[in-house]
Amino acid sequence: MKKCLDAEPCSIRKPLLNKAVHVVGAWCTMPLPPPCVVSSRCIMPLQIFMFLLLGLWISGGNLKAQSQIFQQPLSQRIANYQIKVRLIPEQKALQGEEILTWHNTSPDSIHELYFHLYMNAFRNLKSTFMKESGGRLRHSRFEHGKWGYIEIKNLQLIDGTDLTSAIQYVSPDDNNSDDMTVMKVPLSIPLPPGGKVRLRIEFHVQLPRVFVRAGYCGDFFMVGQWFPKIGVYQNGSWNCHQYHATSEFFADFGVYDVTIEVPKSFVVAASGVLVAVDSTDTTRILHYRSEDVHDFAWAADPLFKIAKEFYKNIEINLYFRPWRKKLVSRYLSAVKNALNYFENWIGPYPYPTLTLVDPPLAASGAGGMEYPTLITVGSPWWMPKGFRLPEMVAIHEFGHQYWYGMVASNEFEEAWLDEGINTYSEIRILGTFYGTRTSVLDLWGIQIGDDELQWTSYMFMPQFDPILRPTWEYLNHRSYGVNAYHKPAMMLLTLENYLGTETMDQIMRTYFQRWKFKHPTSKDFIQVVNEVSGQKMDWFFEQFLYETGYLDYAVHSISSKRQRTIAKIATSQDSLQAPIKDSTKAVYHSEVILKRNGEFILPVTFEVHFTNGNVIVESWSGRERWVKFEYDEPAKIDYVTIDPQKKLWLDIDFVNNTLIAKKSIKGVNFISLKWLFWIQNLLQFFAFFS
Amino acid sequence: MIAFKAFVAGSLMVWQRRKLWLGLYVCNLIFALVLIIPARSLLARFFADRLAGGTLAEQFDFAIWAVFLKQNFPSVSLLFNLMFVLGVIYWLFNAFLNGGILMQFVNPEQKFNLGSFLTTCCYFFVRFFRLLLIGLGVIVLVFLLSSVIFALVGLLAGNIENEIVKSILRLLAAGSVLLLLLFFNMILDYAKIITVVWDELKVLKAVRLAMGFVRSNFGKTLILYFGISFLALILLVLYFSIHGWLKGASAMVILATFLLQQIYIISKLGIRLDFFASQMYLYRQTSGIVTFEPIEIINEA
Ligand SMILES: [Zn+2]
Repeated sequence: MKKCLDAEPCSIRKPLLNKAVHVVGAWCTMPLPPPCVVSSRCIMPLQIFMFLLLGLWISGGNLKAQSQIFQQPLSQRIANYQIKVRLIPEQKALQGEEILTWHNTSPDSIHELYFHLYMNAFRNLKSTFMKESGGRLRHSRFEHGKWGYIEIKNLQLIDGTDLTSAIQYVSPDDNNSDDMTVMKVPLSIPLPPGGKVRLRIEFHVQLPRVFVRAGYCGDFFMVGQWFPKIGVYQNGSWNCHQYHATSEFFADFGVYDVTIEVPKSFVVAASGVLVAVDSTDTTRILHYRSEDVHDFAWAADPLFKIAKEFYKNIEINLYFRPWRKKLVSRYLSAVKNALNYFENWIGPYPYPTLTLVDPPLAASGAGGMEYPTLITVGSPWWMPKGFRLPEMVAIHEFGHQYWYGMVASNEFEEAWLDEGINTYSEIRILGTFYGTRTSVLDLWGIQIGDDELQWTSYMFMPQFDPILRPTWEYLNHRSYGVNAYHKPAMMLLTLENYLGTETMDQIMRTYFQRWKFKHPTSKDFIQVVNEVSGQKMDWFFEQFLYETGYLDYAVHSISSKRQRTIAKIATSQDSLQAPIKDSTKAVYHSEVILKRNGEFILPVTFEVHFTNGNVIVESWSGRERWVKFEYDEPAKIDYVTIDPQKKLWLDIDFVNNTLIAKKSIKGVNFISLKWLFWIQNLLQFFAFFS
Repeated sequence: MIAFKAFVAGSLMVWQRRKLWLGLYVCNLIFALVLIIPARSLLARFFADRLAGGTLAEQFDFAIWAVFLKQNFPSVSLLFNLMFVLGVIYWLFNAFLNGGILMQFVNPEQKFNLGSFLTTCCYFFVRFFRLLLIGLGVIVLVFLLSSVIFALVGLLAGNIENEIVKSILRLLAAGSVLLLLLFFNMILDYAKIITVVWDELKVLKAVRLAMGFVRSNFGKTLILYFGISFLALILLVLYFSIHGWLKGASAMVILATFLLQQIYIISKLGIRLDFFASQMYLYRQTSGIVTFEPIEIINEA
């Protein structure tokens, strides 16, 4: 049996896709195709290849274009693309042709293929995306008339069998017949298990004015979600959702071989490795290769400047407009910090390049987005150093290289697995490098940490949706934010505090190592947690992932009464101090009532502080709706604090975690005085115009 | 030089009218207290028996404020509405006082008398209220003008890629709007002065005369007005520099902070009086009215 072991380019092996799909399937039954260079079919021993490569590289030749990045594939390489695309700046359009090689690694025969045509989200106001977003999203607004769309000009099997006329647009999520973001292509002959299909697709893309993630703004082009992209065949069906206002993406890993043609004046930033550059009098043709990734994005702008840096062997290129130079060092140092942190924390970044694109402010909708090996950052150019927005965006988007890029969970269905875990990572990294209390803001005496910031966003809306829900089913975009980002991050911080940082680190490391270049689900994450911690933590996730309740413990009341005799009736005896021997001393009988306001339950510790300085540390399972603790001590209770070390980040109210026996108005007076001053100023402002 | 002389003379007049100055401060404080008393009780209800109150005295805590806002949103928004209403009342109240205040600087040698001060206030209030409405119209006009200015800047910036240049243009636009607002406010100040000095019954005529005065004494009036405005800016910088030294939440620091804040407020009120007194001096000197026979308000009122 012949084996087609190619990742690409298979154009030199035409017989593989002649005539019919089933033939191809019969020929190509390698479930895990190693790259061409080391296969027995494409006989080219590595040494010879390297020798040739070296020679051609020295002579400046173009064989570099065929070079492999990884000697062994890191992923299954199910969806492999060879794309040639031309940017037509004056029309804000792309002309492209892609050859898709898709492997059927499932045990099923495939009768149809599903594709994402994301650009059609911007085709008109009737698309699901526009209906859901109302033309406003991610701090930007859609400019009417500046539509974006993708048209399939021609779709055929590599042997020339035309499939264009068979194209159907489907809407698996909402039956919106006006939505054209998912395309179904029936196959006349089913693709057998282990088989592969090669398609040639000609397409035309009209880019929208930058609204969400991709588009143009003047001569700046952010080209993302731009090519016909095959869905994921999983568990007996196609997982290919429509483009929603509150959803991101899901795709199989593969090899991308992309040739981009732009007018000569343009500078291009792209995913992957630039392996060759050709020029004509008027154009520049750049050839990129990216392996073991599941998407490819690029940007082009004649005004781009490039800042290059290295982290070990990783080449970091930042593309920015000249007047945004002030931010360059901040972005670069932030991603280097992140590279360093992730490497030590869970594993090294395996790709040889990392590209950063800093879009112009007018195209801020393109900023803060992740693609494999390419991220977009963004911040106003004047951002003061104490406000770490550039660092935050860079670190967050870089984190996605791990959570989404390599650990490729389904962003449509379980957004917390990428955004939530990534926000948790972001909190840790920002805290490590910029100080926990000052990781977001340290300006004019105001300090805000990322943990606090994320917590605040969560606690305003803790219970509309469970975390685990398809993203487009959340109440609204805000609820998506809470349940995809903030609440999961709080959940993981709480879990870390519950299990200990060391165990948590081991969990994250194991999860990453086990699931990199695969598609894990929430159950896989929970399994790793259980396995590494040695505890069955399902009870934890059942509450916080699947339920809509909230967590809130409060000190309900405290009281102390003087007593003549020593009587000790504490319900929790263990941590009580020894009974007092001296009966001549005053003894106070104190009661503390703790309350669980929310539905969620977590064990919690609390401290009882007495006026004589004694402190009793206790724990409570947190199960009861309320619980009373009693003490006989030679002093009254001063105050009680639940969760004194602020371990339960899921608690939606930290203020009611304490109660003081004797009211203290010092703080209140201080704040009142401050407010008084500002009101006086405001009144004077009114008076000035009288 | 006349502008500087006017400033010095104005400042002396303000100093001579310390009682008035103090009175204005007390009014400002009372008005602020009207709002701060319910605000304080709201704070006390929420924080007095929680450790968070103490934390807030020590440092800014984003999370604690977020909880406060979440749980007291209706009360906080009510306070904001109350603040707006109070602001409007204070605005009207100051319009009422302005006639009396200006009259104090017409003849600074006269002893301050609350009764006659209030009578003067009443005497001029209708006219000053009309001037207030004109002032409101000016604000609306400046607002409309500003949208034109910003639209023009937008058009201009539309062809500029450089974000720094764009930002500078926008900043210049905002600055020019502010200057315009201050300029019109200055004209209205002179209209008030003319109303008092000449007992001008027609406020539109007073405004016209004020415009004529500013036109013919453009440099002097601008130097004086923006000179005093600059002083206010220096005062602000000074306040924030000293405020930066006061750290912590000890009783001493709280007391020092309070004193500093009140000194700042009093100084700002002094500057406001200085505007009136100095401009009055400038107007009288430039118009040749060195001595002045105060109008007999009691008879006419
Ligand atoms: Zn993200």
